Amino acid sequence: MSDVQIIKVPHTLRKAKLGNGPARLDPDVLKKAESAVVAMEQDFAGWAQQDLDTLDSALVRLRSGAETAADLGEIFRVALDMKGQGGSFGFRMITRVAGSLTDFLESRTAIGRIGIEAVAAHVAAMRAIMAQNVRDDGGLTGQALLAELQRLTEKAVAEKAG
Amino acid sequence: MSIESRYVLDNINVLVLDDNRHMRTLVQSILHALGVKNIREASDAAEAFKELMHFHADVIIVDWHMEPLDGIDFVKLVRTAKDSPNPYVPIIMLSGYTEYRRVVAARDAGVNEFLAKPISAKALYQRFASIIENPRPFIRTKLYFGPDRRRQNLGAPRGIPERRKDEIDRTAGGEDEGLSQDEINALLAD
Repeated sequence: MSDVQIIKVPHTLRKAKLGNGPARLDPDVLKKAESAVVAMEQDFAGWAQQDLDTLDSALVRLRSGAETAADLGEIFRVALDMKGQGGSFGFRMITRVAGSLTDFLESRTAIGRIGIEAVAAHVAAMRAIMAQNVRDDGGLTGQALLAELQRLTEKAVAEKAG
Repeated sequence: MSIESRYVLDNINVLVLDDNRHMRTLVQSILHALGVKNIREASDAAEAFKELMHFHADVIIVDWHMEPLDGIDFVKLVRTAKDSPNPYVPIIMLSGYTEYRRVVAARDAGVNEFLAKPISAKALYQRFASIIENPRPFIRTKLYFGPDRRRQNLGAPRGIPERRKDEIDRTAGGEDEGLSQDEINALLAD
């Protein structure tokens, strides 16, 4: 008997297509779906403020010296959510800054003083982006901001390594 | 006279599993606008698996990063658990992590499609179209059960530029760059 078994599975989603020819995405349906996302952008602004408040609370705990892996885990989780949601609602710069933060914190259970300031800089940057309603990638200012955040996180990584 | 073919999603059941309620709300809103009427949601893998016992999902949309079980654990559960009610259900994985090794890990767990976060209405619509247009047989081996992966050799994925291959080779298992949605599609395509 062969080690590889091929199983023909009923195509249950055949019911989701009318006709046998090539189909294309219905532009009217797509427009409706894109409008639904745009209608939620203001909701995202509110959610982001809540997320940023959560990040600030965790930062206060970190700065107090009561740093715990749980706080870093919470910051990572919230930043990861913001990374996924930001661009989905048109805030691409939020996705980039939050992505920089998750890249820095992934698998990290402890950070030093510079690391805490790197986290704080990311949170401050995201607050500024939301306050100024920056919807695109921030242009040259955005690039400079990301470069500065990158410089800070590299310094923080070196701090721990040293 | 020929009638143009089109997608009708109003008669399919979709289960959305994400631990973030805002993301669930976003996905649900897009699905509603695309015409999907029957949507159930779950915030963790155990709840979602329980939901499948009485909700016959035609498609599952699952986030990767969750606790205590993540999206990969959930996909493996659906595909291989003895009490899985629907091991063949098409699954779309959502993730903000799109590095080559992670997309391959999702594929090897048995996902049908991989959608990079941030998501868009168009990208989600396209993933549904892909599942509808490209039904795959399932493959059972000693090490794998899931949709035909078409690519047993994980060398340079078709459709991914040579430059990317070089980068992947250099950084195999390391901090490789995220793939674009087009590159992910090429990796998972038949």
